[in-house]
Amino acid sequence: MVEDIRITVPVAKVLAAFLADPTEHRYGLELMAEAELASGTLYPILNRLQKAGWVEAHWEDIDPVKAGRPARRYYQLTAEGVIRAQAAIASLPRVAPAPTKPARPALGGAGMNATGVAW
Amino acid sequence: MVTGRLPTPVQMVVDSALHLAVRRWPPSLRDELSREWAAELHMIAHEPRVIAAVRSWRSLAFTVSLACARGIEKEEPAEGRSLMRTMPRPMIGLALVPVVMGVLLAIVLIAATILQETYLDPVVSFSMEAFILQDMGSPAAVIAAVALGLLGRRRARRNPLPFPNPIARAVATVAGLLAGVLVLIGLTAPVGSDLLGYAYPMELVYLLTWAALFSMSLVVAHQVPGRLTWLVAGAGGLAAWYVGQTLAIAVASPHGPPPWSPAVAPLYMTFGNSWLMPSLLLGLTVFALTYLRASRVEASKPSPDPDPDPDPVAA
Repeated sequence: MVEDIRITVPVAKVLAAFLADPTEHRYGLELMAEAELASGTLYPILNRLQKAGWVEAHWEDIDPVKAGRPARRYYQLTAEGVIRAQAAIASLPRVAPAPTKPARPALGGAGMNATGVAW
Repeated sequence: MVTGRLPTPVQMVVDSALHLAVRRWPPSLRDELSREWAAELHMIAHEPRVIAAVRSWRSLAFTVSLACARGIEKEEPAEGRSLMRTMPRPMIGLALVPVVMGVLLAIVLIAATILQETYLDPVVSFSMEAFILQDMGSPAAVIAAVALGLLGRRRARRNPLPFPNPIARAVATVAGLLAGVLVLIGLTAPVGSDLLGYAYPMELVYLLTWAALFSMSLVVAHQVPGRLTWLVAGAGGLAAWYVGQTLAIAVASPHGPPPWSPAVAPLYMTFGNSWLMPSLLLGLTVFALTYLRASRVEASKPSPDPDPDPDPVAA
């Protein structure tokens, strides 16, 4: 069951990063760069989003020995999470005009302003 | 991170911060988060085209930020711990009931004493004094019992015990009230050993007998179907009250008539202000019965609809 969560600015940044491409699977460092959040802010938010059913996580399917690195954990919005996230972002008050130039590309090419929302 | 080499000071700080960060999360999430963060740290440590100092700095920033993270949600406590968290409030409420009633009865006692000293001849006989106290005490006990009965209903609605099992609820109710009476006895100890009307061994015999028999009668009453439950519980409560009192008097008067003798009954009147403890326990018996009855009604109510405003169904 999908539950409501409180939308704070950091939460909105994470949702915006996800919504830049809802089908893409993202790992923690990537989300940190796109949302411009520290790890200590991002992971509690990801945990809350997971518990609320907005985001699901899965482990990268690799052989760590062959790949020479440990498997990473990926996050993706659920179908219901996409709808909820879009509604949450749309309901936020716009405190500044939408950017006129393209957002600064971060890792994966998705900036926090990719949805046209300014924080 | 195990590298096979001696850890550098930075690596030691990173490892310590990571360990601390993991420990801050609920136990069920720690393994996964530890694996996830170790994987991310590996990526940071092997980032191409980045100098070692920057990699170290990023590793430090990543782990120290995690170690200082705010807003980590704790897991739902286990059932037992949840019970421990929700139990104190109703139990404290139950324990306060005897204290409040003891204070009320003490006020009546003081009023009766003032009345006696003001309006009666100083050479008034002991039996007359007892009669006056009894005269004040009996209506006070009945009024207090009715008031406690109403209070019991109210308490059960507002602050019910978190036990779904009726037997556990009954035993906990009596235990809470018993704790309150023990507190009351403890509070009155510095004032005088017989403020409640009895010497301590007698009080304890009365109290423990009442609690044990009343609990047993409530357990038995639960096995009886329908409205007979409350008849059995009420009769059991009164029996517990009576037997406890009789036993207490037998303990206090070892050379007196045996407890089963009808001659014991008038002895109740010969203990000066001895009506206090019987009044207290009578009131508590009524309170427990109404409290448990209202608790059962509350427990049988359906839980509120989690989705009071469901999505309209398309025609």
